[in-house]
Amino acid sequence: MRHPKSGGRGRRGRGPRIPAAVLRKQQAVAPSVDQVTGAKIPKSFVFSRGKIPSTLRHLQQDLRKVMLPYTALNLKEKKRNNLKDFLNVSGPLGVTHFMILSNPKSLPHLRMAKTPQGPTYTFQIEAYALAADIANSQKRPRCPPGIFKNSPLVVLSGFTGHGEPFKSLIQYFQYMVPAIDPNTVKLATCQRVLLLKYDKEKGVIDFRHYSIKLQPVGVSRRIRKLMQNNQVPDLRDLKDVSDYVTKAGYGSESEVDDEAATVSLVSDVDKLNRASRKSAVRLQEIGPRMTMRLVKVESGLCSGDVLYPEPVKGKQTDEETGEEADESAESADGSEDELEDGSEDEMEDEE
Amino acid sequence: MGRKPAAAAAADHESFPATMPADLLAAADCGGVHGHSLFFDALVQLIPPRFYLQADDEDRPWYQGLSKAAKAAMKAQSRANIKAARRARLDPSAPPSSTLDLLKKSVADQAAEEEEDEKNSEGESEKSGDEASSDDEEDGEMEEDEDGEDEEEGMQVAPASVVSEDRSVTYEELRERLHRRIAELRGNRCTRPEFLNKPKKEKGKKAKGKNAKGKDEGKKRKRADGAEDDGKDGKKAKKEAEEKPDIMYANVFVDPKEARRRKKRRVKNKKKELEQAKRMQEAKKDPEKANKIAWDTARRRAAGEKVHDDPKLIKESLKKDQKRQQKHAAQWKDRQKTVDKQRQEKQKTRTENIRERAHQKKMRKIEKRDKKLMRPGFEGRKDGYVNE
Repeated sequence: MRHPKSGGRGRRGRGPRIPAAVLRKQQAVAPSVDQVTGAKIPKSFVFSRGKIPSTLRHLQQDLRKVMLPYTALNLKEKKRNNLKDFLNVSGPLGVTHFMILSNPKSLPHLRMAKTPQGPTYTFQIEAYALAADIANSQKRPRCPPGIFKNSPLVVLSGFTGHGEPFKSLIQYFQYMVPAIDPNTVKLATCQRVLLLKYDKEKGVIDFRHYSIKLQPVGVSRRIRKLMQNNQVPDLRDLKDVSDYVTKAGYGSESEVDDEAATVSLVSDVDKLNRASRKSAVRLQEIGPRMTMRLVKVESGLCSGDVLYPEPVKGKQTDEETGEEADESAESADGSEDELEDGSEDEMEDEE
Repeated sequence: MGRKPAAAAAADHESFPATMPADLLAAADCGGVHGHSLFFDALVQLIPPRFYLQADDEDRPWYQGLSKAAKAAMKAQSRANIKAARRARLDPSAPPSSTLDLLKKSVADQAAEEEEDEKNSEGESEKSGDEASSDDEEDGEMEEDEDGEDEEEGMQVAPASVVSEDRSVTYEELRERLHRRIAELRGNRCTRPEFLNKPKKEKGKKAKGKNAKGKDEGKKRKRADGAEDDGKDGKKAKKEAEEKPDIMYANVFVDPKEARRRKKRRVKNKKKELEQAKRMQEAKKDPEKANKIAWDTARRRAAGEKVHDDPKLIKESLKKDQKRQQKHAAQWKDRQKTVDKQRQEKQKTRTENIRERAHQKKMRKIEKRDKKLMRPGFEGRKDGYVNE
């Protein structure tokens, strides 16, 4: 007597049987709470509002890749979806950050917001380069398959000491990625870096995305290649293996590392980079490159009070609050022109 | 080994090889007494000596009454006897043990015995007892209650020595064989203990090394990175960076102080939260503080903390809680009602059934009583008088 398989038994005429592995993948949900630190894992949605040109669409996809794995890579948005729809969906899914691209008056803007009530930081993208462009510009573009399995490390530079909008911006960027415990983190999972640098004179933020490569220091190139490729080298012209191993090769330009770029590893990263040995850290740029300027900060999600630039009260420029340094006044004056256009257009957009 | 040269010598004069019954029968055709004798010899040859010849049973002790040690000894002896008998049966140089030969031997022995019986009978009985006991266990007969004392002794000694010798030989031999085999097998395996133990130790050390080094390495790394684009991340976010270029990393670990501070801000009771929010709103009216408060909440929200500053939302949440509680209360009442109803129904049916049963009992009794009165010509019990 033949018993039907459990898959078939359960389906009862609902269609073809789905293999168990596929089912598991479909039902797998990204965890909400980090197992290691116990904190909540921040998830994000990257989407666009309004009509945007195709290059901006590529940029949107690149940004989604940056935020992997805790983002929806294939998020589909329809024209009739409102921000409210996204908000409603984000609750049950545990999505905490929104990144909204828009193109009011042909100027690309990026809004970074925190759900559900969080502040919104509006940036104007002054210049950007897509990941494909960067790969084309490199001689050996590098994108190993596993680097998007873990969140990037976020490094901020130049943000301190500039007062209010940047204080909260620091917090925002820091909490955009899940927390990492340096004592327990597996070094092999740190494969990407997101670098945000604030340039004080120009008042812009540089957004860069790199992949990390570790190379053991003190190992000659030949031996390294041998270990990496696992292929037997060509020893035709040599009399002895020692010739191969000890041949003095030309050092590559990048071999001249300053001490600062080498680290002594805590644990084994992979076969080549072993614990307590020195490794050089090599960064290779992948992903989009952006130059953005902070234009507006709102206290609600694309709504609420405008906190930055400081609302002009009558004719007074507000230096009442001691926190705001010259910085804010400068930017308020300087960017107010572009701001007016930008913000007005955006408000129209939202309606 | 129990070979009895004397016995062999004694039976020598009759030791033509054990003749097959067929041969004897063939030879019985010669006729006369000799022929008859040969015929009977042939018949005797067909019978196994075990059944034909009388064995001394009386001297054998009652097996079940023996002690454990004695039983073991008897068993060992019988086993040895069996072995010896098997060997003797198949041994070409052994004295013949066919029925006829044994019969002849016994006849000869009896004659010898009768002579010795007059001399001393006690010793013999014991010895013959021994031999007899071993006899009965055998398949083939190793006839041991014959010949002379020395033979008996030899035989007595022989089985004992056979047994002990056999045992010692076999045990030692087996042990030696076992050791040889073990050494053989061991030769193929790795017997150096260093090689067996090392990997485990290494693993343990590695793990410990990792943990111990984690903190040190972290510190080293912090000092080492001065360059701006250093990818490895290290510490908790500190506002006052130690190096000149201020680098900050994504938040790595919750400072216990921060955690405690955050927890303090959390108010458990929603009503209290409402009041706090209202107070906040009042405070916001003050323009100086409003900005500060706004930035503060923005910062906390950006950091992932939930700030409840809108009293409207808190009121909604309170209302939701109330509604939920009411709904649950209504459901509970409903459940209670159904339970009561069911209980009542069950009780009703039960009382009904009881009453019915009692009633039925009465009716049955009446019927039974009235059955007797259903005579032909009568209609049963009647109330009142007959002529009404």
